[in-house]
Amino acid sequence: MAPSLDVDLTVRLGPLFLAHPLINASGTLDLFETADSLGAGRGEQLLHHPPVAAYVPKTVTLGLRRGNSPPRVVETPAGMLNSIGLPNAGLEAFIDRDLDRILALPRPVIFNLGGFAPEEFALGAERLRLALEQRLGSPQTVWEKAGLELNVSCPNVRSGCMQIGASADETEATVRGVAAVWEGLLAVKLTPNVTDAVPVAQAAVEAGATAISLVNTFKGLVLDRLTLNPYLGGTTGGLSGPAIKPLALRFCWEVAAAVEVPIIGMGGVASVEDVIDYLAVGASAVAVGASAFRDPWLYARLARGLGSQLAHRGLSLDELTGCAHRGGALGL
Amino acid sequence: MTFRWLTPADGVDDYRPSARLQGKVSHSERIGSMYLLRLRIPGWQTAGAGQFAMLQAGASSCFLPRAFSIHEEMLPAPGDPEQAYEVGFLLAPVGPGTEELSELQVGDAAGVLGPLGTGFDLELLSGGSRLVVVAGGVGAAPFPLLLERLAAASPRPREILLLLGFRDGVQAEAVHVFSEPVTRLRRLGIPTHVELISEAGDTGRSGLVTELLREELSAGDRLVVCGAHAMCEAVWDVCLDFLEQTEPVAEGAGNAIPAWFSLEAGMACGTGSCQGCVIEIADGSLAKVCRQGPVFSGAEAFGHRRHPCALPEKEG
Repeated sequence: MAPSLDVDLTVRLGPLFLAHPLINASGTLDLFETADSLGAGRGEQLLHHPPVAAYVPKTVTLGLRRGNSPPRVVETPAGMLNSIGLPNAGLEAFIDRDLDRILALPRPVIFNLGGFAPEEFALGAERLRLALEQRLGSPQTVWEKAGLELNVSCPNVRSGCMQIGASADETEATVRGVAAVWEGLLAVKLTPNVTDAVPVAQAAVEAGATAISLVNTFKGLVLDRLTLNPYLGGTTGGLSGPAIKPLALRFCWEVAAAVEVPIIGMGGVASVEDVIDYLAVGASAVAVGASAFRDPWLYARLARGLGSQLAHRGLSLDELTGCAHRGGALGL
Repeated sequence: MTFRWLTPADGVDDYRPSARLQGKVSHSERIGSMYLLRLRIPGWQTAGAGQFAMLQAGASSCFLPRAFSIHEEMLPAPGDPEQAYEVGFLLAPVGPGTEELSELQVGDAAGVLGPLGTGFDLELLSGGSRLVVVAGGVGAAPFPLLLERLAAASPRPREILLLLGFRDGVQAEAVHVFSEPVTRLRRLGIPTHVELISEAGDTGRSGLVTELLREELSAGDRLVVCGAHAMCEAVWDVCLDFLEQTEPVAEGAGNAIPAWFSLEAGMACGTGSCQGCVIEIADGSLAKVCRQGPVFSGAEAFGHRRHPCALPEKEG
């Protein structure tokens, strides 16, 4: 479902080749569950023509995680607060049950790995690489199909995932361990729950990250209207949706100016204008999260809309990317 | 090179792949404190009883759609070039999302994602000597479609009892949504009884629907239940009490009461992606209401758990 408007929207993220810049944020799109939900016709269409240029599955951790107690989601003004807590069956079960069907998708995959100590990430990345080599053969085939995103920024687990991403030292140690066993795209997903994300991003790149994803959700709190107790089962949650877009865009702007690697920008993307903004501050790819809950084909429509706008303005994707740091679109 | 971006005035790009269907309001009617909203939906695929859809007003100030049981469904009119179904939803305005939907006028747009989820198994419901429908308030929503489908099913239930609990007389006006399916079932020769109870007691009997159930429940009944979570738990407690009381007299498994509950939870996507709508079920695991449900069997959802404090018995 690549847009076709004679505008080149292709993007390279390390060895991954994307038909356009629109992907999903981890944990917000399960293509297989959605396809099952939609029934035979529309479900098959979703799997045969995924609306994302690369598929980012939900965070997988070494061990099984139950996730947080309900309630887990609540709507907020122009957004939502979630406290899901990284439920997953663990890496071995993921490899047994999910890996083959994910690799069968006609898109590159950016696996998302979570953990609570640097060595867990390295172990997980090595195990995943082995499983991919068994299935895809040559390293070149593996790295052209599969990238990795490290989730060092989940605000909804007590055991410290976000604490890694809040510290430049911890992030550096984590990335260094993974970079030793992973030669493909290595993105690090950063938290916005810090004063300044630049030192963490620089530490990640220094340690071998080949892309930076930002941002994860903003830690927030909603009370139950009646009882005035915290509403979510996990007490606090992560805020997403259009409410956070200006906050997230600022982080992307700052980090893009400070590092040389590609940026996967995200946070509140709901419209073509949002996509253009993220590209303009320097993102190479743009991830859509909560806004696609309403419609899993949103990514493809945004990609098409981006193509229309670029064609109309007579701009190339390269010219748009980062132009906010170079005097804006009028100066082109 | 132009110095402006495209706007809707430049003509809308017709590239619109979407899982979200564009519904148009064909009927909106206030029934007591609830609203019956009918949407004409091109592209809709036949729903199963007990399934749900995510709805959002076309011009909405809410970020997320809301989940609603499918209340009724009418096939496309013969010769309709769009082959559009007309699908009805029963909603209670309890917050901004439901309020927006209740204010929609004929011709207004609404986004629809559905039908979704696992509904009722008609074959299981048709066995047994009697089907008891227990509905609390807007929990009446899934049952007109279920009754229509049962009327068309084979085999059909031999007898049907509707136990409808409401807050007050105004809310109880929603009983009218059962007129057509009940008439149809009776015409087919299926004895169908309706009993009303309201907490305020300003229409008929005063009390909770569980009191009616306690009096009526008998061996061989099958139950379908929808209402507030506390009501569902209280209904299951009545079932467990009944089992305990009758176990010594009756013989084994024939005495168990098969009951199915349509449950609800706050949802972001409705399609299994967000994992936001989980509830803890009997085996201790967390189940997605949008995928494993919204219809769960009592054993699956509640098991042998008891909820002594869930719903206090009303006095007097």
